[in-house]
Amino acid sequence: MKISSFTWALATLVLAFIVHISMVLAIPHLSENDAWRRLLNNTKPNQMQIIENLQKGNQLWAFHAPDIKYAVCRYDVTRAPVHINFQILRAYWSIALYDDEGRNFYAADGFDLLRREMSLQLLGPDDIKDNTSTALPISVPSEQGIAVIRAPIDNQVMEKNALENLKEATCTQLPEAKRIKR
Amino acid sequence: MTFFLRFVVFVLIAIMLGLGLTSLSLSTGSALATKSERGWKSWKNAGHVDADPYTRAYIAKTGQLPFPPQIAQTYYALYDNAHRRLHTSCTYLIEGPPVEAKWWTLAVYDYNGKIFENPVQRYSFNAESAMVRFEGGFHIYVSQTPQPENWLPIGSQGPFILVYRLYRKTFTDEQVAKKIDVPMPMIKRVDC
Repeated sequence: MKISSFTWALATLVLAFIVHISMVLAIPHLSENDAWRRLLNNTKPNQMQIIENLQKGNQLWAFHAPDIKYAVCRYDVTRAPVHINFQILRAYWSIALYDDEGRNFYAADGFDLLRREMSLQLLGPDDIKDNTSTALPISVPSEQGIAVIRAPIDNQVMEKNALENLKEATCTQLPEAKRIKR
Repeated sequence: MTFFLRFVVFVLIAIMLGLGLTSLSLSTGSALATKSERGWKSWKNAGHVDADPYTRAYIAKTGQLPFPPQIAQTYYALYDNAHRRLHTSCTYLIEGPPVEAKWWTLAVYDYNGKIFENPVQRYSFNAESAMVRFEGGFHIYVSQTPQPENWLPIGSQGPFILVYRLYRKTFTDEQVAKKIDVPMPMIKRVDC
């Protein structure tokens, strides 16, 4: 069988394209370096932790913003819903929720809010909202994920206030007995 | 035999081309997934739950946790305005126009996304910490040696990346109508 050079070249380009697309699609699943895996090694589930304490000279994530203080909770709603509470000191402070592939599915900042206190109730697929709670219910797309409070700081006084405020932020799992299932 | 050899070469070349294209599209940003403005590049769908595969691969490969786009937008610069790679052996002037956002920061990182350790422990400037010029914009010098106005120190590791973050951009009616982005800073090489 004789194959022309043009056919070889065309087949090479097609195979190269297939390799390229396969790699692009595979990287998010194969990467050992993504935000979720970095967090898994440095945090405990359902606990709010200030990232500065985790750093010790190493940044948890790439392109970590130096003038932002972070509080992070690796939530896990497998057994029961998780409650997150914190106070927003500046309008540009924000909270963002990500699934375990680092995809953002909820975000709010002080510009969206009418009050400083923020309270979220993260619900798993089998949970329903606790009507006695005033927390904003959010059904999470994956049972585990990341909640990040970002507190941009203007100066050293603000930094001190921000850290004190972030230390008050909580991320707690409801007792299983209080869980309301569908 | 000739067919077998050709087949092996074909497969090898295709794999190398495919891997090379992947590396290039993730390091410099594919035109499908990024947009550029005055040399600043942003990943259009970074932080979106339905981000495209290129953006997802870039985010996973670099180990970032991107800002949700409705909160802040992130712009990366690897080159100056003459399209020369940013390098720590040179001094740069970042000329920013009045910032059309509620808050902003400009930081400098090495190619792994880590900040440069420096004796004055200054890693970025923001809306509050930068000295603003009379007309409302800012001048930030990025250099190994001390500079006037706003000086952002860098190490001596080689190429570096500037990252500009805008929180809640404020668009004019004209920008909304013409679907244009807010103006970005110029990156001028002063000397090397």
